[in-house]
Amino acid sequence: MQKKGKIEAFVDKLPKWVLLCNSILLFVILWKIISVTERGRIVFASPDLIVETMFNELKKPSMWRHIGFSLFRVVSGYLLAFISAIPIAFLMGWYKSIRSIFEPWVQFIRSIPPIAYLPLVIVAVGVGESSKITVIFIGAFLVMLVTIYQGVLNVDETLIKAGKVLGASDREIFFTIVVPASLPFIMTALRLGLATSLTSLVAAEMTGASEGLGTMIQTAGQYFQMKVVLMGVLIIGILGMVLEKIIKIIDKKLTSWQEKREV
Amino acid sequence: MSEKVIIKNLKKVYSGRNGDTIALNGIDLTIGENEFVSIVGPSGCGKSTLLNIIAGLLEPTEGIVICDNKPVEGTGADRGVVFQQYALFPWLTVRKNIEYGLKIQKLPDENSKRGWRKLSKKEILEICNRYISMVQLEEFANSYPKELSGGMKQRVALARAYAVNPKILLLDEPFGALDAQTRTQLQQDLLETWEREAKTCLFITHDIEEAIILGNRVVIMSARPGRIKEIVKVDIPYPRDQKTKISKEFIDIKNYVWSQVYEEYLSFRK
Repeated sequence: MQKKGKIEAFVDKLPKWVLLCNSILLFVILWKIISVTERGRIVFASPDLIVETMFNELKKPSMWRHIGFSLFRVVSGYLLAFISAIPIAFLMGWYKSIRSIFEPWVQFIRSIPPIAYLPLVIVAVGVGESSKITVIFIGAFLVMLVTIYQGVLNVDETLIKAGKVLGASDREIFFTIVVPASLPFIMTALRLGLATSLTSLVAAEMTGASEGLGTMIQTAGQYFQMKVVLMGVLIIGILGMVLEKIIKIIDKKLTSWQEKREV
Repeated sequence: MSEKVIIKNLKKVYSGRNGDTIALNGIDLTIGENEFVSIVGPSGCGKSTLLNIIAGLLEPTEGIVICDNKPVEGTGADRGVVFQQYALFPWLTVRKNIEYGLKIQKLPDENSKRGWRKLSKKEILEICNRYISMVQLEEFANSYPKELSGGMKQRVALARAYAVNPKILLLDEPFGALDAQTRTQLQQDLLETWEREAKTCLFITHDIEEAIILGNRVVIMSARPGRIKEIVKVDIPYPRDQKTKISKEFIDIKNYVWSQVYEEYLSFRK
């Protein structure tokens, strides 16, 4: 092990939650400092004001409708994307013929920002809920597809050989070796897909909606209510953290067998 | 001793961007039932290619491998393999790893319509327990591979290969990644296992001492193209142990094999 400085040695001994609190505290202090400067004040309302606004807003049912709608769109687009990505990713990882056709398409569409194809989506599926879910679906689907099939491709060849010499058929190798060996990549895909879903939420709600966090932010932006904008951004961030935590817990349960480097 | 594996005029050519590479050429070898044959040779002599062809993981370019009077076509549970990289399934516990081959095994059964049956849960448990205790891993039966040391992992791999009761056991430098002490211990374990449950073994190694202490015969291979240079009979009675390594006979054989392998190495460098 390399020699560490005094600060590093001290930090090493602290429990995780202390480090987290420390990080949050520093963030709030920085935010507060920016919010009292002349230029910063225009964009960033002070943290205590935001907390106050949030408490007041959360008492209103309209706020919960915004959160509810957004959450519904994110979760449905995300889950649909996951369910469709799994079989296609495995087919692409397992069969070179299928991969050779789909891979270029996927790579091409993946580099296009969702906002660019928004009008197409609206014309195709209308301005209702389905357009929002579609936008979220496309982004999350592509990310998860790529991550999972890379995982399937990377399954250790020796494990497949080991299965073969123990008498496993192709079918048995697929279900008892390739699928479990890809599980860590599936979990990574779930996390990346979630991040993408949240990122495309605001774009998705640009298709025209009366409710949703993205809509709320856009409307507030037009009226220059920066504290509402900031609050919306914060709520999206918190939602992301909570959902990510849920996936982390599932990941820990399912892939605890993995050899991980202790960091 | 009846003939278990017959290798006839085996040739393997790898086609690459820089032309063809002949990995093996004109290999003829017969392995008797319950015989332990070690193969040594400089790296790149095609030892692993040979083992992979016998296992059915690779197809020969020419020639044939006959195993139990049947030509080898693809892999089969009658030929078990122990890999250098352990190749344990990391998501399965020690017990589940050993059970893996047993669960998918199809036993011939005349009473069944399909002509085969699967092992019952009770049978699997019994076999599994026997091999877990054979490799002395009772305490770790429910541990995952990541919790085991390299030596323990290789013991699990050995138990897993043994459990499906293959007729031939192919070992591809199984102790190559282990430290000297663990290696010696595992050689001893393998010797004892082999004496208790006789099996036809083909053992690939680059360690000459290891090849001699284990084998009835030591096959010396030459490099590029891989051929059999010489087969040395090891006339040292079993049971052998670490003390055997300091006996005169052992040292004589070792010096001889060493000089042959070294000669190969020198000619290869030219």
